[in-house]
Amino acid sequence: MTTRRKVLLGLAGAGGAAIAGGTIYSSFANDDEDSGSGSDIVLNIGGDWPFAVPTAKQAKADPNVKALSEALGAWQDDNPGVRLKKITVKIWEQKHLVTAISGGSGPAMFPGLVVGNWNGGATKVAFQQGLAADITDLVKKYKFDDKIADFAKPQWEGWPVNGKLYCMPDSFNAGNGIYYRRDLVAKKGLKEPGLGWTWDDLRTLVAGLTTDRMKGAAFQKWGMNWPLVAQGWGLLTRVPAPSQKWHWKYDYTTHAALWTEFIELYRGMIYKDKSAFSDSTLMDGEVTAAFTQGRAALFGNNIGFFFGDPDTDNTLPNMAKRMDKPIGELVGFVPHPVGKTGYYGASSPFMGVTSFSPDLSEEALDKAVSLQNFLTYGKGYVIRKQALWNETKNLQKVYTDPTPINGMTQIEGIKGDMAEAWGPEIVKAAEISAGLSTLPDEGAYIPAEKDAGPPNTPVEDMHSHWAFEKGKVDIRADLKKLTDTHNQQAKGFTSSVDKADFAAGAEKYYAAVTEFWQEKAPDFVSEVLEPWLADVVKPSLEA
Amino acid sequence: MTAIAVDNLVKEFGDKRAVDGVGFTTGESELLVLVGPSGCGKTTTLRMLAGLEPVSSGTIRFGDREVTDVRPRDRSIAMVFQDYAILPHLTVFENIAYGLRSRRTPRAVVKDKVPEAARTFRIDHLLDRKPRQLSGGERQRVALSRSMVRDADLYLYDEPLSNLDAQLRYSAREDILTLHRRKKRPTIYVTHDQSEAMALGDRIAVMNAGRIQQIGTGEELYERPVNRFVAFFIGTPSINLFTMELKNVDGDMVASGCGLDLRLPESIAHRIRAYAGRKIELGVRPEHLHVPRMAPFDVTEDNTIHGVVTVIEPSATGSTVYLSTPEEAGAEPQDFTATFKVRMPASYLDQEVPLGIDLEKVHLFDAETGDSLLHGPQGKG
Amino acid sequence: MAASQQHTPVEEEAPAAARPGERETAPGPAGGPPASTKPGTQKPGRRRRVETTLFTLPAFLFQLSWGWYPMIMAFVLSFTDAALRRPVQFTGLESYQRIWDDPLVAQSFRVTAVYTVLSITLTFFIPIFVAILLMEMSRRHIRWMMLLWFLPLSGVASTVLFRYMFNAQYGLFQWVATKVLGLPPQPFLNSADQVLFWLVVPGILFFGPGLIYMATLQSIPASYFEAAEIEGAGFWRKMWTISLPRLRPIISMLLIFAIIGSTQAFEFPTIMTGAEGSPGGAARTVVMYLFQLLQQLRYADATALGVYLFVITMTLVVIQRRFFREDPDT
Repeated sequence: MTTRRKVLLGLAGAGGAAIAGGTIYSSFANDDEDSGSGSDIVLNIGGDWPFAVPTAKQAKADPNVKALSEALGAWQDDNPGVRLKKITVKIWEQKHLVTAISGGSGPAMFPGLVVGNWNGGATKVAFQQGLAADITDLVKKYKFDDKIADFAKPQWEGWPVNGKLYCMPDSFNAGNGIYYRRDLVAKKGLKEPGLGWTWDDLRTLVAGLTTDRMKGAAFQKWGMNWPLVAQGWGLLTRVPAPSQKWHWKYDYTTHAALWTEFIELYRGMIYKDKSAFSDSTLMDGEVTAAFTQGRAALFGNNIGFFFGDPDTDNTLPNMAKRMDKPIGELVGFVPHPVGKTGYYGASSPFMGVTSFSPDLSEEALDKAVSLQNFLTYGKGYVIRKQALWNETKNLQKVYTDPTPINGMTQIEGIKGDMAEAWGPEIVKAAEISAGLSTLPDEGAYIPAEKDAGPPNTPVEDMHSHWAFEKGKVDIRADLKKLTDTHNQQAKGFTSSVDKADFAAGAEKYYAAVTEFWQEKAPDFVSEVLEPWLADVVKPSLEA
Repeated sequence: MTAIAVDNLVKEFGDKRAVDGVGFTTGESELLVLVGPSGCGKTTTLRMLAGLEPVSSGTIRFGDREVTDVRPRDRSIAMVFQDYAILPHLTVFENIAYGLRSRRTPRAVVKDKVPEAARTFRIDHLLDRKPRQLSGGERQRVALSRSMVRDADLYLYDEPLSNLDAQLRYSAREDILTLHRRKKRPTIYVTHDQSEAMALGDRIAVMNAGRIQQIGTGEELYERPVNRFVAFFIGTPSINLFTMELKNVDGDMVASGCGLDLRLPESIAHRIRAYAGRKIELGVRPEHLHVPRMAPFDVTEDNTIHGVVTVIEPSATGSTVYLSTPEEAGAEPQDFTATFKVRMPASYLDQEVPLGIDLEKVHLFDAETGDSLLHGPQGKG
Repeated sequence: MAASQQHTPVEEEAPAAARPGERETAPGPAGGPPASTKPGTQKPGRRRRVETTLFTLPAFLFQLSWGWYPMIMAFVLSFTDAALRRPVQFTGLESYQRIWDDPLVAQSFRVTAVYTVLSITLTFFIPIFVAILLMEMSRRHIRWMMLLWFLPLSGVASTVLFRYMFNAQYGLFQWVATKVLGLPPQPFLNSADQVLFWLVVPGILFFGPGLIYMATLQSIPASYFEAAEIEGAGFWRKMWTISLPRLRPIISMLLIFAIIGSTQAFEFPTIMTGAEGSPGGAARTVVMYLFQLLQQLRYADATALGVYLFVITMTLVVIQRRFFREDPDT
């Protein structure tokens, strides 16, 4: 243990490569904190997540903290001998968190996706590397499968890693979609978008909304991803190849026609219609600001952006307040448009998870999961919401999540529910979005790899190239180059999964995919998916 | 041939007048030394001549050509700086050749002239060296060689010897004179060392407070200083000054004060009768004080000064003696200096001795203005 | 004892003048030790060695633990799989091979090379000439320019400021391009061909070493320039024979910093191009890619890349040292 820790500490200092200039902050591990030994169990709470450990003084001054204090007190009554200790760690920054966990000084619980830098695949790799405790049994014990709301269940199925669970669900986001100015759509007599609308519809809508002073749409730097995903990018660009050292090969040329059409559509909006703008510097904040300040009539993001603080600049509720209109009448939200044959992907809902320190003793781990359970699904959640209500009497500040993972859209002791807080339109939009069935997750079928494999970087590079290159782009040549680059990268990796297991998993996965889309978009199956599976995937799996 | 004419030159730095109406002319191959205490404006005057400092008013002419506003490089001058200004990263050869190359002199000429100049100053064996490898004297000779290779209308020296030790100064003076004699061009030499000025200058201009006090040969300055400043500045050790009152005693002019009553000889007295009853300063050069038995004149009560010997400084040619007038009622003791051609035995220390003053050679100055009562400012201009 | 008693009154009477030679040489090894000095000075060699060691020890330990140890560990780590919480396994040159074969690594080195050349030309050499030109100007101009160069603008704050200035929709640069110069809208950071150039531009004004050049130029004795002027040298000759040679050591030193700085460019391009070095990776430097590897938890690969970069940087520095041999005359 000591030697390994030394190596890890070395890594902490060196990973930053004194050589190369990057830095990883090393956090010095205290001696093993045997949180299980003795009568007291100590849970380290870091980075004020999931809450800031309250002091008595704060509890007196702030009703919110008082509520939290009360909730924690209630939990501690049932769990005597557990102490919560505040530690300092930058819990939202991957390198800090990973370093702390590696060195044994991590917090008892942390947002699971941070260790994989918000990438699900990388997160699972990190889990396998031992950065989170295995809580398979505790998930059963606390019955999370039963407690999560129905809309979140399909998402949850993707989280087991080779049969084990390293996290528990703690939040749910109804997914990505397009925000648009309902008032302007109505004023100009344009067709209001709805579920199943197409990218051509979006292009028409955006062009119709464009004026001298307002662009039809603002897209984040990664906006190019959306139309491509709607065409099946991601699913159709990887071919399982168990005979290769790395079990995937990349193929961006077979469906070049699909990609080219939508790349040109997206570029057409920006460079030809001049109805949309994007920029390599545009992130969520800039795009939202463009929308709330009236510089763009449409933008894409997840549904959470509806529920900002009405008293903060550049949030949608603030915009509604400023324009003195109900937010549901001013702003509409609709899932992303579908591709040519009805495929969709960019709208998928999204699940947040909590993971736990791998250094916790069995007993401490149980207490940590119990605490998070209490705060997410139990009485702790209710106590805090009630306190918020009592303090603000503002429903918008209480119901900040249209799709709470615990399903509680109505809480006893609070006058009013979700719909009352935000209006029926928004709740409906959230329901529609949450109701979109989650695409089959390959993680549920194919055993997880120990290494993440070739990164998505070359793809992102091409996307930004297509989105921002003003002059002519040779899309077919780019797709060829992308294929070569990605496969060249893949050569350096070796799959940790057995060839046969992989092939078997892959077959099951593609069967599930076929079944899923047969129901949702039969055209996609018959025109695109089945020919591809037969001509490309099958021979490769059999090779 | 070109001579230099400077007229009413003024340089102002803000409110301060560093040079306040300087004017002089030089002969065609004259070496004129500007000498004065630091801050007197001599270097500023030189820099204006070089064009390194813009002129506030006044004119500078090189012969027929007015150069007041001409750039330095177009003035045709050569200059030796106090720090020699030889470039440390260039070889001695390249340093000497610097000006020639700047003026696109043909290679062959450079190849000829540089070693020749170096030979003149005995550094021809050092041409490949870098300045770092040279001694101070050798560096100075590099700077001289650099002036030597060029034919300038005016040669300027800005305290070129001040960084050398005493031994080297003598040979360096010779080198400078060699250069001057070869070139036979007007040369302005700035120094604060009056003995250097005396040794080098055809004429010397003594400057103080931005003005030229007097111009003349070394002898003129020494023997006929027009004011107290020049008298005091020229000569080592400095002239002894006594504040006195001039009295007419039975037709004789008597200077009294500091416990002395000196009866001035007729050669002087007849020129100063008008000053009777006024305060003057009487200047006596140290070598004009004599031990009574060795004096070339009669020593009487009327030309004797008593002094207590405080320090005896033997020198190669005799001794310098520091004395102080004895304490007497009504007069503060005053220090003065005497030089003798003989050595004064140490036993005289703390003894009171009488000394004869060669009154024919004293200088008299107006106590208020400092102007000489004997010599008008004829040397000026 | 007798000797010291004799010394004391003399020193009290005239401490400055009395026996200055002895006072100066007393602590040194050359002069005979006067009776009053401590016996320790009799063996100055040994004591000095102990003192030297004691004084340098903390710095040495610091360098060891924060400089060399991580560096060596990084080197060792690059030959393993650098697993975080599994036993580390040696993998030989696998990471090096993987990095060597990665086309994006090659691209990032190309980007870094162009960035380095651009930034050294634009922000390193240009200020030399600007500084020399400025020295010809009035003192007032010099002072303003020095102030501009001295403004502490190199932080993240100014980087964010520049991001807004470069914004293709409402940035200041776009306004200048379209409204002032009457050009069509420029892509600035959105063009793969232009992005590196624009990343370097702010450095010309703000991050350049101009201030150091000016300080060095001001320390050159004025008489050099005056002598040259009198000897008939014009602006170019003075620059070539005085300014540049005198700047040489500082240029040499700063060039090393500039090489290291630009081969390790990370912060500015990251913030300006939003971490990915978009568009198309045209602005993704080696260290930015290294950082991406870290985010993918590929620590072994990241350190291997770091070692490659280190080797190349060292090579550049060695070549630089060859070109700029130390010159004792400057």
